[in-house]
Amino acid sequence: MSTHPLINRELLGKLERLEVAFRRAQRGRPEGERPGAHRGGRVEFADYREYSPGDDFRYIDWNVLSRTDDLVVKQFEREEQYRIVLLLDRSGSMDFPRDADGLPTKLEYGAACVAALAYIALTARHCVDVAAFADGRCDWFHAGADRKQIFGLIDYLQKLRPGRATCIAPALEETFERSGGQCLIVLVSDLFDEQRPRRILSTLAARGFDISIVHLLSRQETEPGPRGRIRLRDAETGGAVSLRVTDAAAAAYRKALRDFGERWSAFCGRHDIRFVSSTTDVAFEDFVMKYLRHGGLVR
Amino acid sequence: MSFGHPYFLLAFLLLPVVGLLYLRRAGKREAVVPSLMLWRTAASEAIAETGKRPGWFDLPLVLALVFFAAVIVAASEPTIDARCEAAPDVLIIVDRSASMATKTESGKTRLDRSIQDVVGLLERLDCGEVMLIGLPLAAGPALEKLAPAEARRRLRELAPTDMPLDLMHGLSRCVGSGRRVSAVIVITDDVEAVPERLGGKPVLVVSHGGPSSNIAIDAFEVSRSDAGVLVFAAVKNYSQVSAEVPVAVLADGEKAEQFNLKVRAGGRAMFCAGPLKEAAEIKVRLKPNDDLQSDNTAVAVHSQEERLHVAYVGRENQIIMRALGLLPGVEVSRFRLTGDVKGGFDLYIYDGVTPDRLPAGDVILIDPLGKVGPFTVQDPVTNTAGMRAVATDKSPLLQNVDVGALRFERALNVVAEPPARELVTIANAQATVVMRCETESTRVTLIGCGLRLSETNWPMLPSFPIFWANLVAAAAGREDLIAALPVYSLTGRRVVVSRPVGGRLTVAGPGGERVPLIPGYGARSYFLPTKAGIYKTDGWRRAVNMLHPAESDNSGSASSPAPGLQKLVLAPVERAGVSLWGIFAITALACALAYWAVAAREGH
Repeated sequence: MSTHPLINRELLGKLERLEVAFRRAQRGRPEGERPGAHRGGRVEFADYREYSPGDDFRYIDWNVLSRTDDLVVKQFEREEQYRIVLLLDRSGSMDFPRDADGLPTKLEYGAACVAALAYIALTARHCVDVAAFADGRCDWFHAGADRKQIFGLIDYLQKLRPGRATCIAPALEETFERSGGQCLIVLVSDLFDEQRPRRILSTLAARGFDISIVHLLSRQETEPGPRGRIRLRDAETGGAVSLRVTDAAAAAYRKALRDFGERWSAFCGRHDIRFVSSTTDVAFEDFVMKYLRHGGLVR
Repeated sequence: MSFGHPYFLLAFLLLPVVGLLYLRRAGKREAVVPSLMLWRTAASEAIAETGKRPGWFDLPLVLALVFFAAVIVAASEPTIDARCEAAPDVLIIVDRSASMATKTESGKTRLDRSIQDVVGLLERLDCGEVMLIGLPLAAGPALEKLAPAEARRRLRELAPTDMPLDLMHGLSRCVGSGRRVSAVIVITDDVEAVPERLGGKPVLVVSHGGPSSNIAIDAFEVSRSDAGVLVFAAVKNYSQVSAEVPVAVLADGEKAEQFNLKVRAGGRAMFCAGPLKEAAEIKVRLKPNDDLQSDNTAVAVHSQEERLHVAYVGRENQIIMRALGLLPGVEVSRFRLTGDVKGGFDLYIYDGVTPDRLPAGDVILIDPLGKVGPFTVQDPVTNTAGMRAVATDKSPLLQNVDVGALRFERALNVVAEPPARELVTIANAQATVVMRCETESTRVTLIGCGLRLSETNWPMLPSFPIFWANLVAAAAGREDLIAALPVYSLTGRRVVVSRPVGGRLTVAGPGGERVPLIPGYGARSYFLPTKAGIYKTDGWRRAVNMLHPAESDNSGSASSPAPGLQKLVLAPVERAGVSLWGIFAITALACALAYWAVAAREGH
């Protein structure tokens, strides 16, 4: 089976045992009295609750009533097909680290993350949409709920080329327009977006969207290497700054980066958004099995 | 503050260029980062905290600018003007070479007359300390710092040496000593060699007489005929003025003929005398009324010594020929490179060639020029004589020799006379291989490549012939010749002029008696100068005196200090100050090291 370089057959086997964790109860289709045209969606027992007038008699547990004289009704969870939108940042800043021996770029790492999440979701027959965005434009890949689409998705992800500017807000707006309702949004990005995407994120969170952010950084960013007078060129905007990088300047940069991550983490905490941060030198399997699990994206 | 070379300060105009070049070079370093957002944030936060942009202080640039500035200032020789009440110091450099012993019209030597002038000058001059340097440096203490009264006393005690002097070389070595003085006084008769300023300080030259008639015997031949002895000699005038010089021919110490030769400047005059009566010793003397017998004299002695027959195979080599000429009783037969050498010689010298078969007798094999050294092949071993020996079976020198038949036993220990000792030391240091091996019938001396026989380095190492003469005599087993070989011998075993290292010139007569020398005169150079020649034919051993051109007969007119220069020295001088050159040089060095360290740390 053709797979992503970071996702081997063994990892796929492990991914099949995971499932996407939804933080909020998704609003599925409204329940009716009659069977509808849609098929699928298993219904499983979840809990009991005390009967209240108006409850459907069909859900009264007669066995409990005969043994305890308590009138309780059974509650069910419906295994429903949810919609998951995976947004991958393919801006110029994601094309790092460059020339790092053996280390994937953030784009490759993020693509693997998207592929893994999509595989987990497709295994559970959720509907998956993937969008790679840059320069204010989204390229969509509709995988649907077909597990076989994972190969097409991996192929799509491997053909992605880095663009220039990060534009998270337009991608989220487009997602909002296309989703037609609540869905799980996973944003994989380094978040180096100077257009302040927090407003749209907070709006979507307020509207009940289940949002997760996977923040990716490279070791080049966390530990700036070169010292001395250097002309620093922005990979996205092409802008340049001539700077003398000293130890003090590097320390100030590290502090700014730390504050940047903490601000995002605090923002996500305020808006009930899951926030997972990692660097590309973390083994990908550890990233999925530990970071994503601890972050609450999968279980 | 004043500057010795203020024009160097103009180089400060180049400092902006240095800065721009640095910035341009530094600007070529570029790194692509994912986003400048955080760098801008870091900068703005740092500015908010400290009021300074991080990295605003460009240490390498500052170091580079300070380095260049320090170099410029150091090159301009800054001095803090100390308008101190103390009188300025004076440096006096005294030429004590042999020519300074030449007597002037007053009967005093040039040195005495000059010192008399300088002492008078010092009495009138309100100076601080006097630094006194006598040249040649080997002839006395290098530097003495004296009070004026003591300096005057010591000056009066100075006497000429019997050594030659390269004045320019001596002065250049004194420049460092005169760094803190206000003026320099040079006592010499070689006025032309003294620059107007020495180390930035004005120079006063005190001189009485100069090299105006530098004349020496240039060629000398003696031959026998049926009628008697014929003498040919040439005299060369090395000076820039014409001269007339008397020349006498002496046979066994008695004057046979005398000539008055007129020699134009740079020219040569020749004469032929004879036939003279049979004599054991023939001399030609310049200025026969001179006091020293061995001065300006060419001598030929008919020697009845035991002959040493030498066969020389190789290209004509002046050094070897002169070396052979130094040894009494040597008769040389020359052979072409391809010619057969018949036996019967006491010593065979193969210079640059190797015989098909080693002859019976003593043999010297000399490494040819331009070939790989014979003993640099494998596994050098230090033998008991402290010289290096190596396997020789692959030696190009011995390519036709049955090496297995040779037994290398010991290195030849060269007993060198003083002039050649330095050379032997050099040879040992350069692992020159001088080696002897013996078979039952042959004793071979192998001479390696460390000391090339080169005509070009001959002027630089005039001891070469003496060195080789030692080698030849040792190879022939004639150590008695080595013992008889003086520094140079004008008359073989009859009159020996020698000058031991650190000692004074001595002249020994035929019976070994010491010939008295008149102070202030004499032949002074023990090197073999290029203008001297030693030749030998038919039992006549001849030598021309070996005077250094600058130290031979000088009798120029007196000169006195220029009035302007006197004023310069006598004028109040406030230049005695503290030189800051060293401080700036150290600053430049420190900046360079710091720049190197920072650059290495920052990877550029």
